Amino acid sequence: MKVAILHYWFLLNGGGEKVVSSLLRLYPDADIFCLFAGKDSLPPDVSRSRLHCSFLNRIPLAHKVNRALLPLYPAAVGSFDFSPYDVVISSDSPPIKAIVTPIDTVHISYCHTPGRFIWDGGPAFHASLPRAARPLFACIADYARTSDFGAAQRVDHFIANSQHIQQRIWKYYRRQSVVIHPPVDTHHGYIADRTDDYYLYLGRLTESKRIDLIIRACNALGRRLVIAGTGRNKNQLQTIAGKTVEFLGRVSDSQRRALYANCRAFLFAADEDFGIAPVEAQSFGRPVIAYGHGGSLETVRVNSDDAHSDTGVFFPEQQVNSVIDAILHFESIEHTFTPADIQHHARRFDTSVFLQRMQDFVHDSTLRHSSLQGSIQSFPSLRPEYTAPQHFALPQAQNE
Amino acid sequence: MRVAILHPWFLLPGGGEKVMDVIAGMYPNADLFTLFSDTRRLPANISGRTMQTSVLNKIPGASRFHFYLFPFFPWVIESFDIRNYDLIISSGGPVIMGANASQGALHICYCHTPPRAWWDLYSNHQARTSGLARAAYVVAASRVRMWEFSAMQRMDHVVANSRYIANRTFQYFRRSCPVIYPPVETRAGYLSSRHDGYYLSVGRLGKEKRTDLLIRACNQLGRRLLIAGAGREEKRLKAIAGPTIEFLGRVADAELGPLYANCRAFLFAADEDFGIVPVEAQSFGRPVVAYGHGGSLETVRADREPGCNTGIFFPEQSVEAVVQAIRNFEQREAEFSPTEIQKHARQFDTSIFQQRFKAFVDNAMLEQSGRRLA
Repeated sequence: MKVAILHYWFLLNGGGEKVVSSLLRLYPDADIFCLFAGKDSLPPDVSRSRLHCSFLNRIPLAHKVNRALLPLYPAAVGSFDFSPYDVVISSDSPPIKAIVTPIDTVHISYCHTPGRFIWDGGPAFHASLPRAARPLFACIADYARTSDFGAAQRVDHFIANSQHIQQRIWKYYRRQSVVIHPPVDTHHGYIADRTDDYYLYLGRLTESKRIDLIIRACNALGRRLVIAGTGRNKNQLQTIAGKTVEFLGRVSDSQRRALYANCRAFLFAADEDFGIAPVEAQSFGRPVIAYGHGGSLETVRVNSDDAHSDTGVFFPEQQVNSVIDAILHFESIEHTFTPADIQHHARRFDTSVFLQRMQDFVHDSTLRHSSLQGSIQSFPSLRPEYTAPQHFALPQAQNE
Repeated sequence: MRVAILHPWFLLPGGGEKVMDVIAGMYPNADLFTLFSDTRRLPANISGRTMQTSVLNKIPGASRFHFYLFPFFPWVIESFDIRNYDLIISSGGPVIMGANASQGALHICYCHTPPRAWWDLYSNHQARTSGLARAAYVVAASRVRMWEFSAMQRMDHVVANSRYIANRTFQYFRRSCPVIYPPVETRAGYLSSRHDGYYLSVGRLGKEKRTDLLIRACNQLGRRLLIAGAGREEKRLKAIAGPTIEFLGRVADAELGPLYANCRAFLFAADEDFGIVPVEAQSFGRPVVAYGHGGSLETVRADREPGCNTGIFFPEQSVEAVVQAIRNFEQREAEFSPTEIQKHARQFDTSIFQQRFKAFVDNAMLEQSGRRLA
């Protein structure tokens, strides 16, 4: 089976790249297609010899202005030739699924999210632009939405990375999908004998993560907060931080594990599609205090039947008071959390689970596809009136 | 009832034009709309009818490079005024079905294939261009795809010409559609008492027909092969042809009959959307050795018990596969029954198309008027 993996770009090392690396473990001989690839930002397991970049990668400074090239994305991905492949798995963010696959090739889209800044995030992004650029963005976004919707109808099977995304795929594309959570390396997790008295945030420091809320809440409560990671928002966050907040910058893997294992709880205020960091924290048996929206609703277990099997606490709004209440509430019930249960819960999101489910799904859908495409062996008997094609129905959902 | 018939262009007499000819014959009062037409080459039922051509047809020499004007097709097609018609039948394939019908009108598309140049064969076409032309093609194709997708969603009914095309229509437009096979003149077919020992290939000599495979296979086996038809590839094919290969050039319809009737078997290596010639060959009771892909899988029967089959497939487009299929055929030649083959071909007869298509349209009209009353 010839497999092609399609990813939007290799410019940062984030969650999407992790999915590609994991898929490469399943299909080590797969060819990889992308819009752009940076020289240094290629994950180690992506070999340059099997990497195909779009023509956009040849434009000088393309990596800096990648978002401005948005109108050309559909054309760029449309120019790839997938006829030699049996399966194309696209690790999808807005534009990448606009590929045209021949009828014998199965196109499976692993959807991280229907492009936020053209769909639900559009108005916010529009408002954040300088006034002069807004009409231009409005036109481009309009074009991108038309293209994106049409492209979504050509995908053979959608996989959503969470139920949250499953709903968005339905809302914006009217397509059904199956949920397979993204891979998280939870087997590194261990349970420390004792914990230190600090709360933890670990991740990129950008506006969308709303770290400012966590900092202000810890300022107000006088709780110790450790922030690991770096990003374009760092200076701004440092100015609002009080005495009890500590910035560690970028940390090594071993440091990271120690940080996770010894924290009192993990704080997470972002509205994520999935959110890997809370799962990692839980794999060390630590509870999570998170904004109760988006992917966190699926990765953190709150209000389960048995209070002792909860793995965290939610706050209902992205506001400082809400975070403060949640922290105080957490401290009042802190003794009810069982690290072993939390860790057990996190294991459901392990890479091995992802790999197994992906493999099953790909296998199942290619099998259906080839039996449908009328290879000689399975030549279907001739029926004059034929209503196409029930066999395109979704493989059985693999949700739990 | 006012009927409009839309067809992309009347330039070459191909399969799509044959279908159009039959449909136009079914609706003798219909008005015709087309992007380009060459008045010397109109099919019988169409010449002399009211036909509106697009503004693009006025460009001198447009019929030679008409295809490259495709980025303008959407605007031109949308400019056709089809407000006052009750029934619009568009013979899809290229983008013609995008015309805007009024709300009360019933719009039915008979789909030959989603345009291959920007759908399934897009990468091949793209590879033939380079530089600026390529950039323009890529961008224009991406835009036309979007336009075509939404045009397909507005269609009241889409009918595919084969299951193969129904699948393709679903793949690219996510529309399920019923299949009505295109009309083939099978009534003219007769059975000859003996064959003359030659293999036959009929059709335009284009690259995508893969006549080269047939020639090489017959060279290798030393079998006699007659090739009827002309086209761009003629020179190249003559260059590779051995002494047993004979080129007949363009053959008139009347002379095709005896050619079909007396051949040992018909050879067909193309990956067609439907493929009319194999059916014609079968209407003369002759078996077909075909590439087992696309429309041939539906027109040739090869999976039944001996005596009921009408041909043999080869699994890939390679010389070895063809050679093996011909050998295989010759071993099993005795088991093919001409009457059975002819009977099979009759399923695709023009009368059956007319009957099915009319029933489909009438039914759709009825449904539509029911909706309007309710």
